[in-house]
Amino acid sequence: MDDRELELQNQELQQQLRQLQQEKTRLLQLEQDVIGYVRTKIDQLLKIMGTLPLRPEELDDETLLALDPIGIIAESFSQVLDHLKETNDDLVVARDELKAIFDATGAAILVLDSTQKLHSCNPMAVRRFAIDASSAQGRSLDECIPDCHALLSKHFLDDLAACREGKLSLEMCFGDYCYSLVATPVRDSNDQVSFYVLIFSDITELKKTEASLVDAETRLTEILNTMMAGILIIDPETHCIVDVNYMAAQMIGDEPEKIIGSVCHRYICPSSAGQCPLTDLNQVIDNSDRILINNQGDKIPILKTATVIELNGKPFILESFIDIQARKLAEQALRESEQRYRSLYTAMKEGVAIGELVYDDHGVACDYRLHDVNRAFAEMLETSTAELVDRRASEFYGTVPPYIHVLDEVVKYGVPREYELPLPQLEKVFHISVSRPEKDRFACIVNDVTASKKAQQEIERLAYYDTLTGLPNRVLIKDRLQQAIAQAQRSRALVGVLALDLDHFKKINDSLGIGCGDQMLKLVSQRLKGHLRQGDSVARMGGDEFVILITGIKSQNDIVSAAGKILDLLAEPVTIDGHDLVSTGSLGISVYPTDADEVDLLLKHADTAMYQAKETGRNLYQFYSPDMNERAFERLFLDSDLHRALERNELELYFQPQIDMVQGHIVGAEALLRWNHVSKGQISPVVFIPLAEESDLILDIGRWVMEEACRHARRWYDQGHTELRVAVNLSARQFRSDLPDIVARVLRETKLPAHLLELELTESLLMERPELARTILNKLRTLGSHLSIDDFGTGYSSLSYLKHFPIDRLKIDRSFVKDLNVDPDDAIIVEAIIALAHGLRLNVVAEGVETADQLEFMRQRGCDEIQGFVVARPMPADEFERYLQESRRKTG
Amino acid sequence: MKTIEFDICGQICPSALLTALKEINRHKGQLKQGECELVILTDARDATRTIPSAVENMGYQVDISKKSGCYLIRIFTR
Repeated sequence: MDDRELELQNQELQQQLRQLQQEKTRLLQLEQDVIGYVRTKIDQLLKIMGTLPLRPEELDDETLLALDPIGIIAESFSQVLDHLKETNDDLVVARDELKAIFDATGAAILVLDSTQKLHSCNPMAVRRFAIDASSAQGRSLDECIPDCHALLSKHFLDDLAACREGKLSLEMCFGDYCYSLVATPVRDSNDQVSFYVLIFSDITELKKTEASLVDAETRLTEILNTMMAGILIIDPETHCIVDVNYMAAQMIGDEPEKIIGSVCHRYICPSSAGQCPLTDLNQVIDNSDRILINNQGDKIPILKTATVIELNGKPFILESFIDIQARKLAEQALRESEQRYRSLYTAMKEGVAIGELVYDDHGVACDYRLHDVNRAFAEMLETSTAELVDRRASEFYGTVPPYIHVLDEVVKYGVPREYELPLPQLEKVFHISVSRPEKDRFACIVNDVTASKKAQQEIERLAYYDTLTGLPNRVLIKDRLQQAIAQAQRSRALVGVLALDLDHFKKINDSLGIGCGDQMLKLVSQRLKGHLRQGDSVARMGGDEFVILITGIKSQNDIVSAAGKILDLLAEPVTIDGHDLVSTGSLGISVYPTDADEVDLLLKHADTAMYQAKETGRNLYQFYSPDMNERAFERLFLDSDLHRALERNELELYFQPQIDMVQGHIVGAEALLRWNHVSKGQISPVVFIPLAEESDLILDIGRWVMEEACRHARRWYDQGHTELRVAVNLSARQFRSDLPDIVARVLRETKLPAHLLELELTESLLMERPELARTILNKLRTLGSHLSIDDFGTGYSSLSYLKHFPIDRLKIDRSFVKDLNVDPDDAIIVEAIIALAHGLRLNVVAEGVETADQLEFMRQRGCDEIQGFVVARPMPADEFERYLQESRRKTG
Repeated sequence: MKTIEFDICGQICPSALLTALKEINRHKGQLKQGECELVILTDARDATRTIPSAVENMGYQVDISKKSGCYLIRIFTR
């Protein structure tokens, strides 16, 4: 190789070397630039990562590259980016979530921008605030919300704009809703407000609930404080009272503030301190009588109820109590009262039963069951209480119980009733008072009235019936007459009132004894009763007086026939103690409505008529006539005056001459009694003798008559009328066994020869007791007196008897004499009597001869003596004396 | 879960941060899965600010405690 070549080579090499050196410098510069660049970028990255720049002394270039900080940071950034991406995804989800909430939330949300223009709103806000969503964005609230000021006042919005931190809240109402508004400014990173979020939560229901809760609480408080029970709320742990109502405070007597905080035992159930039924004895409820001690220390009985309640999640004891002091006292009183009534109920003599009705399928009461009876009730029914209680009444009666309808009415209407219940099986009568003590029950108070009932009947019998005859008495017959009048008034009928008096009944009593008389009355009663027509009545008015009512008749003739029948009935003889007796009667008749139209008057008139019948002649009837009344009235007061007539010398004898038909001179005189009444003048014996015969007065009068007659006769005897006979009438009452002694004494005292005294007897007097009559007559005859039969022909004498009596004379009754010229029968009777008397060798005297014809008749028929007006009227003793002297002078 | 501990005492920021990031990058798979956690021991005070700031941006959780003069920076995912 050459140098040139070499040179060339060297030059070339030199060139290359320079080039290389230049390249090296450039490369070194480049390396420095790259490393500088890397460090800058690393620092830049580190700064991004938040740390300090990498100092060269900390890491040389080589280590720097080896460490690969850019790689590390790049790698880390990759992770940061991943994380950012994840975060971004999460934010998207979150945003969607928020959007969904925003749209769906029940709250209305307005979002305002910093100038308080509407930025957005959710659908609820659109609805509630009537926002036009399409054009609302970016507009002021005034423009997009109607009546905006009611929703958001300017004041509020100004406050909101001024709000530096936190949020504003407000409760308000808009439209029909109430809202709780929370307004929050949203600030950007520079703390500048970018948005205001206004959230309107609907609290309408809440407000309503709140209001009703307030109402409820007010109500409860009001109730709590006005109720009449005391109420305490007690903490179960401490037993401290935490609340008290008004009534409890009243009962305790302290202010509620003083009571609250006290231990409950201080006031209630102090005796059982430490024995709280709820907290100590584990009871769920305590309901018992307790004592309340008030602030005065008084012990008040209460009824307490304690139970556990939960208030705000915490248990409390609720104690309520009422004052039962009054109730306790009432209970005590009730117990005592019950005890009293129970012992009364048990011991009372009245039977008491409480029962209940049993109804059939149709609801009709058909039976009853007794729930309770007292001892007296069972004893009355002659059984035990066990036999009666809870048994059906039909078991006792064997059929539907009596008076069930009454019980039914009492149970239905509650009006008490009474009734009488006869129980023939027990021979008892009960008086039952039924009442309704409670609904559907009846109570009976039972009195055994068997005895009083019998007594009552007996009393009624005594009150309304005559004990001797069993006939109705005066009281009852008056009642019947009253009814008969009422009946007759309706049917325009007559009622006959017949007063009946037995003739000569007193004679029976006097001569045969009262027993015999009573028997007579009974027999007469039976006879009358046995022959009464249906509807007629007979009553005994007392003594021998009867009244017969004849009803349902149309004419007086019916009464006549009834009266006739009664007289016939009586005329049949009766046999008593072996005596055949004839008891005629006299009837007085009054007629409704002719004589009177009231009970007492009818009876009085009938009575008057009856006396008239008696006076007229017995055994006949007499209708009432008004003029009888006067006489009846006289009778009444004469009766009392008569008793004094003897003492006052008011009685006087008149004498009526008896003329011998053959001789024509005076053979005797009948002594006739007169009563010179001090004010009434002279009174006929027909009037007053029957009165005297009613009593023993007739005996005194009879004796006076006999003495007086004999005294006069003796004086006339002394004056020379030695054959003048004086005739004295004897009353039936005088015709007793002592009559002969009396006559003998009178004759003795007056010194009148016995044959100058003639005793006149009636034929019935002889016939009624013939044996006694004969004995007496025989004795009188022995004395020497004459005996005559007065009123002959009117009685029922058995003519054949006459011969058994020592009779001297018959006196023909004036009634025959009176009608001699008009009634041929009477003439025949008089002829027969005269013939008969003469046949029996008796003298005949005709009484009541008043006319010359009658005198002639008697003369022709051979009548022995006459007496009457045709000869002379009866005259006083002194006049008769003159008449005697006159007569003697005439006849010489 | 395993705990990977490494000591970078003596290093100051930023190298402490780079070291920590390097380790996180190396174990990012396991860390993200929650299979492990890293505990870095450092005596650099700045690192207790820089490391948590960086790793939180990367999506990890960090807590810091102090133990015998060193800071324990625990890095984990939830």
